[in-house]
Amino acid sequence: MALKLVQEAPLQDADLVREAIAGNPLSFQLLVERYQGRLFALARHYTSSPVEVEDIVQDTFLKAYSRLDTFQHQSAFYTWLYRIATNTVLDFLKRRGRCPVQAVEDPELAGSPETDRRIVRPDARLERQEVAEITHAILEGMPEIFRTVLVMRELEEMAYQEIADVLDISIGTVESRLFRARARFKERLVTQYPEFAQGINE
Amino acid sequence: MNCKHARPLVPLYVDGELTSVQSAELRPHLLSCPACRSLAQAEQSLHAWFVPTDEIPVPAGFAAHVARRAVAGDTGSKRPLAPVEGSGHEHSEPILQFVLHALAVAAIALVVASIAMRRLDQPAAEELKAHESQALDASLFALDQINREELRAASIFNPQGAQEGSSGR
Repeated sequence: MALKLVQEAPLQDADLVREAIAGNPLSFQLLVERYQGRLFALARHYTSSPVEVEDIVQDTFLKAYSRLDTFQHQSAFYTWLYRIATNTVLDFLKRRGRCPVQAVEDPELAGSPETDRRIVRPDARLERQEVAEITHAILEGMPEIFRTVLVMRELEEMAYQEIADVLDISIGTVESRLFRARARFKERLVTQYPEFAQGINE
Repeated sequence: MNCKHARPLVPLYVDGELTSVQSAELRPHLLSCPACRSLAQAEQSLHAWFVPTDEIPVPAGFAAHVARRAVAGDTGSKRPLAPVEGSGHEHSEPILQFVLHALAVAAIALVVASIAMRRLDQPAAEELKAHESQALDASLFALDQINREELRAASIFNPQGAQEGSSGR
């Protein structure tokens, strides 16, 4: 029954990948059209420059095409593509002069219980775009391993399992990284934007 | 369920990562425990910061363009980074190069001039006055004294430190 359904849907990702590997450029173009919007949105979380966003997405698809034969069909095509996109973004950030901070997994760096309980809602006077800009600025200053999980969870709304698959880490590591990432984000919000972050200690 | 068990589950609850059984166990505790409830509210409050940013539209013909490049063998890596908009890098580079060249020329001229002036001022070996060589000797002697004192201090303090270390164990 499941097989029949697959046969009736010729535009499945896996079929397009097979056709692209077999030398049909139109199949790859269809894959690009299918996911370009999501990758543009993903790259946008890391840079606000349209030129850089386009560069990152183009690089991602070119890399994907050059290694299409390594796609194992065990995970979803988008998960595989997303992993390449994340690595492309990290390469891009590295070339931009950013370097991942070492020893960031130190538990001491996590927030205190006081920070954990702190409610930090955006000030009601802020416009949506202003909130987005503050968040973007804070994310930009964070170590990459925290920034990636926050983008994936909070902006891409990915499940822990999907994040674990893309970053090739365990679900436990996703949990602890997210916990620390949020604590850091909160800490920075309250210290850098005290006038906009309504910090309430319960 | 008590707070010790509930606390680590709170972020997972807020993220929708708990099973329905786990959620059903945690929920009554959150309703009855103000501390754990405020923790959940604090976790939830953070979500409000992550709003979608203005979209960057995909340029027309992007997919066809990328597919063409991919088929042509472009693997995408190691291409130069596009200049950042408004950074002014593309304009500042020639100016920067000119300033650097000018500085280099000025530095060379300065070195040549100072060598020439020193030659004029420098006394020949036979002209070196006695008091100058005495002053040099005195400063070398002073340096030597400092070195000796440091060595003596090290030899005095090290055995003590070793003794303290051994007595501490």
